[in-house]
Amino acid sequence: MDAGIGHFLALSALLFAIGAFGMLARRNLLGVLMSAQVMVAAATVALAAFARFGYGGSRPLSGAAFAFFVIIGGAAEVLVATAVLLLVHRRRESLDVDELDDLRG
Amino acid sequence: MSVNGIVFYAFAAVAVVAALGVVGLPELRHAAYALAGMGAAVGLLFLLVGNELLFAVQILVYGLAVPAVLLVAVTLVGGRSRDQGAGWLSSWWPVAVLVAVGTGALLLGVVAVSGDVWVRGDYALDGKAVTQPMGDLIFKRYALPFGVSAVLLLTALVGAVAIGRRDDLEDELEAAEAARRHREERMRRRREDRERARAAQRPAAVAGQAEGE
Repeated sequence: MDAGIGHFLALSALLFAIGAFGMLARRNLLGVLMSAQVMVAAATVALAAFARFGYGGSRPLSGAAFAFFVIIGGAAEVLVATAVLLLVHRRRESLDVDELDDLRG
Repeated sequence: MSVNGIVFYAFAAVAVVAALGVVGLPELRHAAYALAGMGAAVGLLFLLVGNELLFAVQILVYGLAVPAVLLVAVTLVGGRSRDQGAGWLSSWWPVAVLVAVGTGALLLGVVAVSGDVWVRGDYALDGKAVTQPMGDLIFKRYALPFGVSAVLLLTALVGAVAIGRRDDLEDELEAAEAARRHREERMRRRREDRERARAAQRPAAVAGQAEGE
């Protein structure tokens, strides 16, 4: 049996749920960022699977192009978020989400 | 089960285990390594759907670049951070479990219920390279999003530098802090000098008093 779209979508759902857990549960903000990247990867898996199996005949590879743009967006996100987190750490000496609970600069 | 299925399950298992590592490893640098592993496994899954361009991009970005940036960040934050190691879960973790289980159940339910409704003409690539049609697509139909994403990356680069730079206020604050420390040190030294001088004078004064009597 070849892997079909159901397999890829199930994997995508699983990865997304794992990433969602990490994003909400990790204490360190860098860990939260990494978990967000897991969720982005889950989305690209689903998009690539749609490009391969779904609507393939009428719009070939559009899903893969979307996955490409999602990867670019994720990379930009990591870049900016890392800079912000380093600034937060320099100012507050902590990246603990339980400590950073006010909106003061 | 065909080779295709076996390969899928192998790489899917690696991806899931690595994702669990990203979420669950207490040490942040281990989590970054796990993220690289997950990126590589997902990239190999892209190869399995016959898309070698996405494979290359995924390996380069999520297998190498993103974990490298995150490792640098972890190293910079590293030693002084109080919240590494033990206690990697925030106080909100029960909510996270609920949300994750709910999201996972919802998505898996949709996939299970919908069955093959997604499939519209299985697009067989017959082993042909997909890079050229992908290039056509990205540079023709999606030329505008491609340009926008280039601007996005440039903005992110400039933004990261601008955010990470030390600004004037920070320099002033640091200078003021240093001046304060310097002044305190000077006052402490002067006080010590005075005490020492008084201690040296006291025996003489006592002796003078005794003579007067």
